[in-house]
Amino acid sequence: MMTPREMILKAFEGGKAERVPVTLFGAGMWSIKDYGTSFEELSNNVEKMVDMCVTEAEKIRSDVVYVGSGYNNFHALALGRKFGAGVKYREIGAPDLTEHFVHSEEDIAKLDKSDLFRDPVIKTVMDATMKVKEKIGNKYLVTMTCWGPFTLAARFVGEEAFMKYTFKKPAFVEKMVDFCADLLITLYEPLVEAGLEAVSIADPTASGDLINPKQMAKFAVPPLKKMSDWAKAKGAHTILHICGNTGDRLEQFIDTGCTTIFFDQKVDIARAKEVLFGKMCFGGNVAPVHVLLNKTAAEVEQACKEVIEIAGKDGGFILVPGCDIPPTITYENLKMFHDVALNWKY
Amino acid sequence: MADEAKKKEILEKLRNGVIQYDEDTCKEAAQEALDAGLDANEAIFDGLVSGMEEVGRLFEAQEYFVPEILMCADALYAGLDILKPHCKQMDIGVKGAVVIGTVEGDVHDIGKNLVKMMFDVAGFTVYDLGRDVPLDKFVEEQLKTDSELVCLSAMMTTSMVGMPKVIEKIKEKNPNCMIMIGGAPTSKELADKWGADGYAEDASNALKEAIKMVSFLKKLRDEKAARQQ
Repeated sequence: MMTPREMILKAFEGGKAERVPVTLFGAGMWSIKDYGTSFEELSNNVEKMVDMCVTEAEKIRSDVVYVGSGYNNFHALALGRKFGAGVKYREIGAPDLTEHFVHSEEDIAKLDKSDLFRDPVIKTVMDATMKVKEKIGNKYLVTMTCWGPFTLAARFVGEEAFMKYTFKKPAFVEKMVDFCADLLITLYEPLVEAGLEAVSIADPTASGDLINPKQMAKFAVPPLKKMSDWAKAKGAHTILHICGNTGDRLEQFIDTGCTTIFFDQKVDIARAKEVLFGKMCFGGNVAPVHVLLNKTAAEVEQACKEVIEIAGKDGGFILVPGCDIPPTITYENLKMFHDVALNWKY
Repeated sequence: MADEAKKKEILEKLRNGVIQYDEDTCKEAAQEALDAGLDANEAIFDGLVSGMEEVGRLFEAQEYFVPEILMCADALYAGLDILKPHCKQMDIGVKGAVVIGTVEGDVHDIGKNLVKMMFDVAGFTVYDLGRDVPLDKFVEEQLKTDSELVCLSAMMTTSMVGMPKVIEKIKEKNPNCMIMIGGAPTSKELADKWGADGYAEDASNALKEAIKMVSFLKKLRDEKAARQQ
């Protein structure tokens, strides 16, 4: 019998595993709440972070296990501490960056990528990632999460200003996203060298609801391609999620070179299959709020089956929610979501 | 009073300045409007807002996306800043005060800012609480300002869970207060379930809803003007 890891790797190749592969995306907030801890508590406790990930992995039963989900802002924060940026922890939700500190090309020149490795929280997440991999990496595909270069760049600059700069200062935006691609490669380098098999990238600010297809092609795709080229050369996979309706730019996901793309619930998954099947593994797209949060388990079952019927019967497909899930979803619904795929034999 | 052709030309220039996100054109046209003796309210509604209505349409048609809208908003504000000091108090029988903010745990405020802009334009008194606003702050601010409307925004599935608590608390203390929620993870269904009076699913929708309110105000203004004639 194939392991969950083998199932997902088979889908990455475009093939059919023994059953439909299934995973949440990130799920840090749900897991932390369910485990009964907080982002702040885990941020300096490798052992507890590892135990949380392992315990929740066995409970949730996703084929992919994400370490660091919810800590992505630290990748910008680490470089911004010397410019006055801080972190804000909260009761519910991921920790936030308190300042935006890059406003010009001169500011980019002042950033030091090696600050990543001086940040204690990033160190905790990196150490935990490799320990989780040691413990359950044979069974599940273990990955560490990050923002995509476009989203990360907007975190440095401030989202609203960054959006305007795509028109007003395009050269600055291109430079910044390229810097962020390099920064993320720097971050993952030691992990991939040590055997990490996948990089998990969320690029919500490049959402199909936010930027136009031309902007995506110009500013979001090239740095993703840079990351995926690097990962490929090292033998690692890249898992990508971009929010919003990206139905008018599906071909661009092939251009990113990423191993797989997880679609938002707004995307017509039948159309996505038409464009991507045979070219790129894709996942989707059960609505996290409308279905997983608000419907009964029986309705969740129905919704998952529908998505698989439409998009998943030929392989190269992974059952995934349309985005990360709210921490308030019931375990019953989450269990049902997984059960549908786990019991779906090809 | 400016002659009709000149007036039309200036209004068109204001409108196009917004649509083509050209701040300089909007500033120039706003000054021309004042110099030509145009009514500032009219220049705002039939020039700038008319342009923003077209921007809303372009957004819905997916010709414009958020960066374009933000640029259009800058252009609108450039004109508004010049015209607003010359606005007569809009006595339209609607006292408009709104408390607006992005709920705790959420720092996404682009959609909120766009909605705020429409309220600014409409002459509402806007109490902008910013982003990542503690839930009780909405309740306090509503009570303090006696605002008719509270707008709550959330962009994440994880942060929107704070909304029903705010709605419940406000309605408990002030059942007549209208509450509008908005943001990507929200839905009409959720708005109904939580007892909100209005809903906007995304920036486009929020803009549309806000424009609807502004258009409603416009209609009231026109009706009042018609009655006075």
